[in-house]
Amino acid sequence: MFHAFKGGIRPPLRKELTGNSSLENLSVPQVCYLPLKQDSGNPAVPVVKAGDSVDEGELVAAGECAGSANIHASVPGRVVDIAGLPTVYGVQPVIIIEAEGAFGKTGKAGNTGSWENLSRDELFKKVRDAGLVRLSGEGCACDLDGTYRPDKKTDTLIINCTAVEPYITSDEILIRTHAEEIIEGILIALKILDASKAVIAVNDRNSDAALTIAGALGNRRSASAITIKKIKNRYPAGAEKQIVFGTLGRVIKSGQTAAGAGVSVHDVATIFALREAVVFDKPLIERYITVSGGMIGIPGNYKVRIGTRIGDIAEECGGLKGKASRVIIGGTLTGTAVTDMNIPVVKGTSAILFLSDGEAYAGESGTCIRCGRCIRVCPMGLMPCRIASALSRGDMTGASDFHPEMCIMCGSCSYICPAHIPLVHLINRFNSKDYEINPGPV
Amino acid sequence: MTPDSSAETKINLYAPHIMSGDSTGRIIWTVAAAMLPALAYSSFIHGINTLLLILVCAASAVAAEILFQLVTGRRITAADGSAAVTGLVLAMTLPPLLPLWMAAAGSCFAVIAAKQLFGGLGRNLFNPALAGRALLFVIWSGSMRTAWNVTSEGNIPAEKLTSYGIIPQQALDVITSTPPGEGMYNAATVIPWFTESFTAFYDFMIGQNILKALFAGNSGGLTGEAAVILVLAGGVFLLWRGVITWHIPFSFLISLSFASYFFYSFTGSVSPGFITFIHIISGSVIPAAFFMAADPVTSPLTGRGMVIFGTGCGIFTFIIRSAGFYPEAAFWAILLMNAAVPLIDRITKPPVFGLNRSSK
Ligand code: SF4
Ligand code: SF4
Repeated sequence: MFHAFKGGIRPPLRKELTGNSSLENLSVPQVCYLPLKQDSGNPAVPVVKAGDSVDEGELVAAGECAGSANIHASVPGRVVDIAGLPTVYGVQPVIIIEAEGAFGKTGKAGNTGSWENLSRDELFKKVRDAGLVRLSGEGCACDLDGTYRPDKKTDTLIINCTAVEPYITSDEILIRTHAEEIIEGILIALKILDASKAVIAVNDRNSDAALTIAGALGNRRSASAITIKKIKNRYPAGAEKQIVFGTLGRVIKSGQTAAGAGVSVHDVATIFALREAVVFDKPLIERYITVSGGMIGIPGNYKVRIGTRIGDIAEECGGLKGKASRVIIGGTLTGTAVTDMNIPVVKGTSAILFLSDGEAYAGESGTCIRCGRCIRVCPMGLMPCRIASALSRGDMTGASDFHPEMCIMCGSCSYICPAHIPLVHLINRFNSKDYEINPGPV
Repeated sequence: MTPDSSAETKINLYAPHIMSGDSTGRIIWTVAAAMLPALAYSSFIHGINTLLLILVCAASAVAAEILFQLVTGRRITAADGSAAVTGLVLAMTLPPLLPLWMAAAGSCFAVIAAKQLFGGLGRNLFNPALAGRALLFVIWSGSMRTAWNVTSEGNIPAEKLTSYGIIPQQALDVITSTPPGEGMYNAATVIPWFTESFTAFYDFMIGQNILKALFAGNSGGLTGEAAVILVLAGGVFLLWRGVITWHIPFSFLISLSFASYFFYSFTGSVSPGFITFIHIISGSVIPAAFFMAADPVTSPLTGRGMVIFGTGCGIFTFIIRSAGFYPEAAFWAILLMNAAVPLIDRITKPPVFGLNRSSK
């Protein structure tokens, strides 16, 4: 049984830059910037004010509802201000903490009590308290999707280990170095979800990862619920609808969430953090980030405190070799390009890429030559060129006939288009109703 | 250096930030490169006029496009190569000895009327080169029908037939005044002209010379089909480079083969397989399938649409050949199918993954 989604692309993965690096710690920032909105929910509500002293890992802003997560101090110190600053999600209130005092928690094992004896609700509470969100939001952090809620029936947990995003290697390296911990994390997640099985979706080209996991699975008696599924090495194999289809053959219908289809999809980094939250009661104050691209001095995978400015990270990673053509937060296909090096790392920041002129595309778009490539690569079966041509005529009804709302924003169409038409950008503008606010062409 | 200043940039910053490296210009110039061996060989076979014909077609197409864009104040797009390729494709479809000024006129018409007036690259409904050829055919059909190397060494069939003796002048006229092989397509027309049995004619045609001529050149056809084998190689090159997909050329050739094979089987021909083979390798079918029907702008968007389109091209080629006795029926079939592209596109929308029909 081999389900392959339609379409997809195979961009050069450029993983050789960081693929063999080990996981290293970057130093904690002198000043830490914690945006109040780091996920798809409402902004968290600050529980500290300027002048307060905070401990490392202390709650500084409380998640407001199911969709928003707690935020904790990444460094011990003093809250100097809560001010509007640019972040990867736009200008928003940011808690600024100046580091001082002792770093009590770093490197400390913490509570190693057995999680097996805890109930689902207790486990879930630990996860929520730790402020966990999806860690590979690919530019859009989102929350737990409500899939941990005890009233939702989820039968299968899928772990996205496809690693089809160019440059990003943190997930592969986490598996290579921490396979045991990840399997424990999966078992915890299975218990919280009350799901009966977990499937680890591995890229069929990445036999290393599959072997490591298989080895780690062999070492555990209780891991019989976990299986490995190889899926085709094509982007976006890790996208939710594509990975659910690729591993289970299940189609998530329009208007349905993965949870509605009885599936919960998570990435390796999230599962790793989930285990730390449960086993060590450790709040989400740091994460692994791939720092890569042709312009960075020392590419690699680094453990970084949430709230570290990307400029500080660049400096510690050997600085830039010259002018970066583009600085991207997230992956090359869906990430956000930024110009302000003071933007802090948030929970959903999976990578920071400093691309050289040769790596980043910078050119003009032409007219559609009707080559059909965008249609062939669209994993959702859309006709991006038809949507774009309707939009360029100002024909909004015509555009909606081609179901732009089904677009998953994977960027495959823009990537492949020989005329360099910003197809996904146009579709995104349509879906976000930008044309109603800013009429006119691109 | 400070990171702040290093990231300043003015370009579009939306995702995706990497691109496949393919571009319109690269695609079009690859097509030009794929045509070159066949065109060069054709110049070698047919002589200097053919070389000039090819150059004039390309140059006048580029000049016409630049002029038009200057006059109308549009951006000059000659660098993308599309005008030059239109000129080269047009040259492929012309008789090698056509007067150069006619070729230039066809080229200008192709670029201005059939392409720029539709809105430029990507917006034209008809293949510009074929539209240009159609115009030339209508205006100067005399030259278009006779400007090949009829009796020169290059034309093996003509030479052979003349010395064959048993072929009536009437049939010889038809065979030598159209590209080789075309005379075969309408067996029903040709057979009664033979005083002796058709077998004699068949014996000649199945002789190795004709096959060699069609495959290795000097068969006396159009500029573009001096050596079918080189055209085929160009087509395979385009497939390999991913510039075209298999859908159109294969469905074109397969449907034409089926139509021909069944027709000649049912009408009791001596060798339907052989006639089918002649159908495929002559009359510009190979260049038409790879370089004209597969033109992305004037063919459908989806694979399914392309198969419908290619199949239509093949069937119409056969019908036009059998009924109309038009030389180069393939060109007319493509123009016909070009007109059907908007309709094909409408009925071949791919299924949207997971779309809930009832919700919309
Ligand atoms: S239309 Fe949307 S789903 Fe399809 S390729 Fe483009 S970005 Fe991806
Ligand atoms: S890939 Fe670009 S040029 Fe090709 S059909 Fe799509 S929009 Fe048009």
